[in-house]
Amino acid sequence: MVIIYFNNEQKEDLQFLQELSFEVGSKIVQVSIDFFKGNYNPKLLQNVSTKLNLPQLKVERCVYALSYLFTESSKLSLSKSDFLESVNAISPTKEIEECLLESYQKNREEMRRILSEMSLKLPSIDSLQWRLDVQISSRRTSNEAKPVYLLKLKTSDNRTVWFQADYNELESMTNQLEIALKESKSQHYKRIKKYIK
Amino acid sequence: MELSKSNLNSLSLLKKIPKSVHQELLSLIFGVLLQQADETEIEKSQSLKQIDSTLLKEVFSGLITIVIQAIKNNLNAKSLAQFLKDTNAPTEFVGLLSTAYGKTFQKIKEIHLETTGFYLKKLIDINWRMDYIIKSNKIEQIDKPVYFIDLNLQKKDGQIEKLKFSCDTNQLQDLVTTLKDAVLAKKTLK
Repeated sequence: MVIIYFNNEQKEDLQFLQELSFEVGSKIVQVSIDFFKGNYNPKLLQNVSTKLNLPQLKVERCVYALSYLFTESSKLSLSKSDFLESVNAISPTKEIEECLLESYQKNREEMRRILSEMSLKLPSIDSLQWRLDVQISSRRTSNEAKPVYLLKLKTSDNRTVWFQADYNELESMTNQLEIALKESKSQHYKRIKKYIK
Repeated sequence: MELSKSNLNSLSLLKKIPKSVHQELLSLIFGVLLQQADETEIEKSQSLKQIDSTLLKEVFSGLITIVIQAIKNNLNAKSLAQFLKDTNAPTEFVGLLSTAYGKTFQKIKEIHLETTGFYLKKLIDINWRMDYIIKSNKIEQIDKPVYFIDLNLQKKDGQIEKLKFSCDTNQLQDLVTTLKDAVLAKKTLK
């Protein structure tokens, strides 16, 4: 069972939710979800605070604390019970609790997707295009008939690399990658996957 | 094979060079082409030093051009000899030249002509590694395999550039399918 721990400051900030009506509370929860997704708009916070007649600083800190809650729970992929257990630390009303749980469950997949984008990774392959040519002549040699592959590789960091390969190299590259692919179906991999789980 | 007038002229200029020097001249020419000698050899040779330098320059450059053109057009020793016979070059010289040519043209071809062609980076090697991602500091319970692929590309001057990228199983599957199509295309060609 995995639970999130809040420090005292965060607990205080979240207690703030208790003092509000359900409508207002849920609005703030929504703002924190948007905040997490990247739609952070300080003006929006200002508007919400004035409209709801609340001190802006408190609203802001509550939003940050809620974002922490959602970030950690998505990161750890908390189950429903674990999430509720964590939220219990601030003893919310039944309605607030339900509102938080609903927001979490609805947005969890997307939040995990955003987190994995932010994770450490090497640029990944976007596409590989190829063309088969026959090299006939150049300025210095004529009367050739050499088949040559032109390849264009695009990676996710917007790099495009052009290179050529002759048939043998391309064939050996294909064979090597096929072997790599087979590894994902091998016994060894399945065993490791089982042990880690 | 076509030669400019001045090149052809250099052949007739050969008559002005004493026959005894012809062999040395040929050794110099092929030495330079095989990158085993350079023009300083002229200083070291008594007989070559005595020849008028303008004449020597003209004959030398003319002969080098003839040899290189012959290689570019894929002539063998016999066809070169035939070609030269039609140009009134001294017969004995033609014989010496075509013999030396026959022995060395493959090597000269390798050294010069195939390394100065227009060249994209060439794929020479591929390495791959498969990892299983467990967690990161941003997200836990990832539990997915990832492949790291490393291509070695060689530039014209021999420098090797490494191209690294990652892909998941689906992307690797697509990549393998694309490559298999490419390999199949060649098989249907010949």
